[in-house]
Amino acid sequence: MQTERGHTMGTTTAAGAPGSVSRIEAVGLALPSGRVTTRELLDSRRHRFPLDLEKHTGIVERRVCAEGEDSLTLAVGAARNALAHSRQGASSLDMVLVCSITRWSGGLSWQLEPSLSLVLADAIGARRALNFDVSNACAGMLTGVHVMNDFIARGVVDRGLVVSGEYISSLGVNAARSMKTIASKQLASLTVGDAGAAVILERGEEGSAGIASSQLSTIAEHSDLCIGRPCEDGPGATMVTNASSLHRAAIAHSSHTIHEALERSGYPPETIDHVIPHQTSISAIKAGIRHGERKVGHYSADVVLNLAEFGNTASTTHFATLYRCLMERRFKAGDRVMMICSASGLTVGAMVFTVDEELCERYGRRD
Amino acid sequence: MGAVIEAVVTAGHTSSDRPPSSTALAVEAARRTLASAARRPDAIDLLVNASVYRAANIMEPANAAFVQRDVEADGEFAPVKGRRTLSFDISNGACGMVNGLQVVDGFITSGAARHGLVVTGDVDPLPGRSEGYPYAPLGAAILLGPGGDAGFEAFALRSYPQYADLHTSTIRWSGTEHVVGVHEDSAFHARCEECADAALTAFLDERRLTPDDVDLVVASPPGVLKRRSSSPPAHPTLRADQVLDADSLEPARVHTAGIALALESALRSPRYPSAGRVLLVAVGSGITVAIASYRKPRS
Repeated sequence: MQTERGHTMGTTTAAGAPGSVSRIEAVGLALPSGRVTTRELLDSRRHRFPLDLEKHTGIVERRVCAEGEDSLTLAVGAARNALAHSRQGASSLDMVLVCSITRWSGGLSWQLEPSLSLVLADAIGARRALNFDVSNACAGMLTGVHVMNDFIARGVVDRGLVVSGEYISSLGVNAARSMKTIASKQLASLTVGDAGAAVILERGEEGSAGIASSQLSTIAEHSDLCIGRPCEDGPGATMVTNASSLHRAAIAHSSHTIHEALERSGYPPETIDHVIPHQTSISAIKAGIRHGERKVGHYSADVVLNLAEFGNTASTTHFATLYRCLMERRFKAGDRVMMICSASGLTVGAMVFTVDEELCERYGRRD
Repeated sequence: MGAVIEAVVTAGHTSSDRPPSSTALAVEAARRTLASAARRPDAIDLLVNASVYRAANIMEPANAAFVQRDVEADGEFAPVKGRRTLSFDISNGACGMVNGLQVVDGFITSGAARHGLVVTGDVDPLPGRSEGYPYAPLGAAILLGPGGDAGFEAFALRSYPQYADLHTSTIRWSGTEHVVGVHEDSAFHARCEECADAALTAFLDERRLTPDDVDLVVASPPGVLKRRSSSPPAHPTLRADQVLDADSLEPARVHTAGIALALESALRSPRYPSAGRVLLVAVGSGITVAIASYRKPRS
């Protein structure tokens, strides 16, 4: 064999002690070169009807892929950006999980095989990494982190990369062409934008802070409330969403998961310093936080919104937002962060972690 | 030791009234797997779907959620610690089920789940609009539970990206409609055999095992370990009687369910009851070779 990649893993304790804590070692972001404002997107509609999308969602513009950019290029870009912030190289990665919903590669060509993770691992030089793709709608990256956290906790993996590249702006293009009224089930498609995000997890020092808890659940009776598939009358994809039902179900079920994530973390709700929700719209986020706090207690000292310039970037929203927070030095060492997700499926979940000093140092310490 | 296999079932398409559905095939296999193991659907804490070719190419939500819904694995959504079902998809071509086994085994080993299902189902996504789609519709489910002294002991994944172009598949816009294209080079199977041989040799070396330490090897696709490359293997390798005669499996060409089909056949084999260590070997696009080493429970 000229080139071979991979290695063998036991089921427990091959690399470290079981019960290890995962820490976030680095985060990366990749943005496509194009921008489309909400006004421009609304103006491109074939059927005009009154819609103040910017006021309702808080989305002013979104980034969109141009020629030569797609899910794979965004994922590779984000992975390289995370590695540039890491003190380790790609050869140290034991595991690479690509968690995109979209698998566009070479433009709007959807890659079924081989896996995107194989191509990405090869592109970044992760020569010994276990790789596969994970798909769980907008909860994809958090699901990848959930899986990798288990591998690290068992001592099977020392370090790994969870990455996603979402080229989803074709949803907006196709929705703008076909929507006829404000009641259209493609309305949510106008909120999306393209982005790549990546996170490197590693086994933390004994007794160190890191991921304190990760909880995800699928409420499958709601699995048909949001369906994405290839478009029937044009390139790219379409998404049909029963937005109000999905929103109601997400709110109703999220508080249980948030409560459990907080309880498992051992952190009282009021000690959470920052909340990073799934970036859908300002109104939906506010309603979700209000309901959650009624059930769980006050936890929203700083609700981080990243909608204005990015829109909803699907599975990448949490880590794209985390990256911006780190670059803007919004965190200080020891800050506790809770990510909250609600995704098609219906998957609800929350992850609670502590930002450690080393992570802050890598992105610049807050004075 | 890790999780044990409680049941394995494959399900083919039997209805002539409607086209095969990847979800329906996975659901049928999952239901029969649960029945075979006398487990209730709400015992499932984790459900992983490994299908690649899905009816209508639904990309969101995870198709595992549809399977969870139809199997009724939701259980009670009450705030009971650690007892809610999580479902998601894994994709890695023909190796996806072994990756799924590795993930579910891990959650069971760590105590995050008690029982987990790995399911799959592949169908021609766009009948009449697919170019070169070669696979028969088949679903499969493997139920895992807590092990003890037996269970999975190691997993390995080896990739040979220099052969990535030998088997590719895409969905693309033709100008008037989306079409599925599966493109396979004539050299793909021969390279798969070489890669499987190399990966298995490396696995045995890393685990400090000799072929005599292995009682049975269950492989997919059929024949991938039986034929040899033109050059002889560099290390002692397996005897023919250690490898399940996968060539006898029907239908001959299945995709992600292939390793479950081979395992289901192995469970019926007279060689299985006396086997101690069983290796699962799946080979597919990439070229990727996934290997799992399993210590079978005594009873």
